[in-house]
Amino acid sequence: MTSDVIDAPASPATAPGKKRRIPGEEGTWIFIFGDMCVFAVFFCVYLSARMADPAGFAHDQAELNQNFGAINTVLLLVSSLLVVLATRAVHSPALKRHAPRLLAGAWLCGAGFLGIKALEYAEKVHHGITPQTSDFFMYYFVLTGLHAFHLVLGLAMLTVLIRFASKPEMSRGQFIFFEGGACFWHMVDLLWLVLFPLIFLVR
Amino acid sequence: MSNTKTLFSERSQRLILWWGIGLAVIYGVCLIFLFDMVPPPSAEWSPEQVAAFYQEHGTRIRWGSVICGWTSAFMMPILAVVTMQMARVETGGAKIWSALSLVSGAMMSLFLALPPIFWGVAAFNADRGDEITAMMHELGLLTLTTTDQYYIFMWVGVTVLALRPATQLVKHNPFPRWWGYLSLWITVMFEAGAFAFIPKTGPLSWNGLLVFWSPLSLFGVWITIQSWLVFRALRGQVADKQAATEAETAAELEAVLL
Repeated sequence: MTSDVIDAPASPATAPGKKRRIPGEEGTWIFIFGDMCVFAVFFCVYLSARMADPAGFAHDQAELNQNFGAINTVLLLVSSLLVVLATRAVHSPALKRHAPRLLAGAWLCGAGFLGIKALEYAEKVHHGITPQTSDFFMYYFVLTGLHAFHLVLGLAMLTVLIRFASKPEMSRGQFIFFEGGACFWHMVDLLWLVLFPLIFLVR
Repeated sequence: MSNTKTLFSERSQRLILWWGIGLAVIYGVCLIFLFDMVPPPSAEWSPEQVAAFYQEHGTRIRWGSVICGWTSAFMMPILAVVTMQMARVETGGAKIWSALSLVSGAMMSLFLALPPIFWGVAAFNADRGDEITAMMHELGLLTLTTTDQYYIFMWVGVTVLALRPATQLVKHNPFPRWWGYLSLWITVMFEAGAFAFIPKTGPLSWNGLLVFWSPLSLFGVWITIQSWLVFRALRGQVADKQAATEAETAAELEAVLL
């Protein structure tokens, strides 16, 4: 039934000259762009708050542990790479058996990110730092918390993708869903790549 | 055969949907112009400031409550129509997602109706102790912003049906797949509302970006697009019925003539 409804082709091997198409379903891009717009608004709100109190923000920023942020950046980049490799693998009969393992690796990187985030939050709370401490820490907790929430959604999505990849045969609809899910994961990664310098590094 | 000839259901759905939209618009206008709650006053206001606000604008706020007494259940008619359309496409057995959304529509109406009542009570005797007025005011605003889950049941129902492949096989279906993704995104965005209990400033406070502005505007966007999709689907459903009726009449006529 699925294949009746979705008309986009599933094969990624778009031959040269063939009509280009967007990966995933059109609908997933509504979700992804919607999310990116919200984050973009947030980044602007954060920057304008920062401009209003540069000294206070710089003082609070110095208390952040940049190592945690850097490790998390590496984890997400690796997980994105694994998702790219898995997406290639599911399209190739010879490599398909590796796809679930690659995705599981991506999932573990994501879970590792959350583990480190939990450590980071625990460290802050241990030092008596909460969202109520200052404007900077309010934005820090809200922005990183919102991102972590998206990461949890992404992990749920990766679990579905692992199930799809483990099937002997994927339907066309499932292929397209797979691509959409992979794009969502990349968005979570991309948002972190903006968030990390914005909150941890910008001076 | 009479059910193929009458357009009572489609016409009623159209009428009830317009009824809901009309009530929603009036509710929104009251929220903006009579209650002054778009955006709501800062959560950092002292009880004296809150009491002064209700003393100054008491009459306006009480008239707002009167009008909302007639209009605040606008999601009941809207969801009645939307869930009828959901039940139409929810094929195969119990229409559980439609039922969930209908209950959700009824319950969210309650939490849209309560804040104007609380603000009306705050203004009813605004000269009483400042603390008491401030508490009614806070109760109203926190009821408005933190009761997310009633909306989420409905959106999850719509998302599931829109993303179900079988739904797309039904003709004149008002739940296209892209609408499933948009509803899913709105669901995610709404989850922030409950945080309003924690901070008094910033994006998660009751006048903040994630708790007030994005839910309010996305709620408006959702109602607008869903209504448009339902009206469009209803037009198709009416046209189909009319065509069927014409064909039936022609066949009957032919049978009589022969």
